[in-house]
Amino acid sequence: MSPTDVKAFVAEALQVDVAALADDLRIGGIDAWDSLAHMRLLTAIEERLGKPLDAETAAGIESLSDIQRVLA
Amino acid sequence: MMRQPPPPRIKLLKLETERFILRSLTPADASERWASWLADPEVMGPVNTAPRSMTREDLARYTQRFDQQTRLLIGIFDRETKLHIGLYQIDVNPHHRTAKLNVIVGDKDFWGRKVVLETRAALLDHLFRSGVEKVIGSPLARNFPAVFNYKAQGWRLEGIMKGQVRHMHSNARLDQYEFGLLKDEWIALKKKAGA
Repeated sequence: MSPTDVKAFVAEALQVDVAALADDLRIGGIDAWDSLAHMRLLTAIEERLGKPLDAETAAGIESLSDIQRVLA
Repeated sequence: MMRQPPPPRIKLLKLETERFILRSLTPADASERWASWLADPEVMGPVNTAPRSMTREDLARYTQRFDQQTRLLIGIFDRETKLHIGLYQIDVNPHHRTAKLNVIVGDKDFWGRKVVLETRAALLDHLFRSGVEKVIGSPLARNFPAVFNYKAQGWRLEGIMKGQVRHMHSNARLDQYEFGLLKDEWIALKKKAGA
């Protein structure tokens, strides 16, 4: 998944415009990335992967680059 | 021998944040509203607790199990409406000067509104001022909203406990995280946020 695709994916989960996502965005870095949005995001990642995230992987998801790595 | 600081002495009167009030719960706070959260699978599921029916009398008795010094039961109230929307249970270990925090936001209208980030910041200030030197939180790995709150607040993930607890309805074993935060780390985080 390209960085652009990752941004589009995260924007949909967080229910914000792609333009709101800075390249170095981190967990909680914008208002829209709140606790419920985080749940939507991780659930969307699991749906994309077709399997539940293990505890180690889920714990490591804190930024766009982390998401790109997990979805690679 | 170096003189030790006195053990933590928690004296919670009332804390106010921009949007919320935190205060010790008493038998008078027992309500149908509070009981409804405990019967709601959506509220209790993330903390792996089977929903249960409790009466106001049950809840009133429950509040009396807390000495409000080493076992604290603290309500979260919306400042504007005065509605009771959630609660913290805190266990203080005076010897190790640690406090273990658990929180439930029962009123689902307040989910995703940063209630925990705002109220726990005030609680951390209070606990650290009162002599606690480290705080601990142990959410289930699948409790993604709770995990978000620890990470977004700057707590350190100290470990992943594999299969730490049994699922409330099955024999499945669930992973749990251990988050921690030292007093000095909290002070540094606040300084950085204010910088």
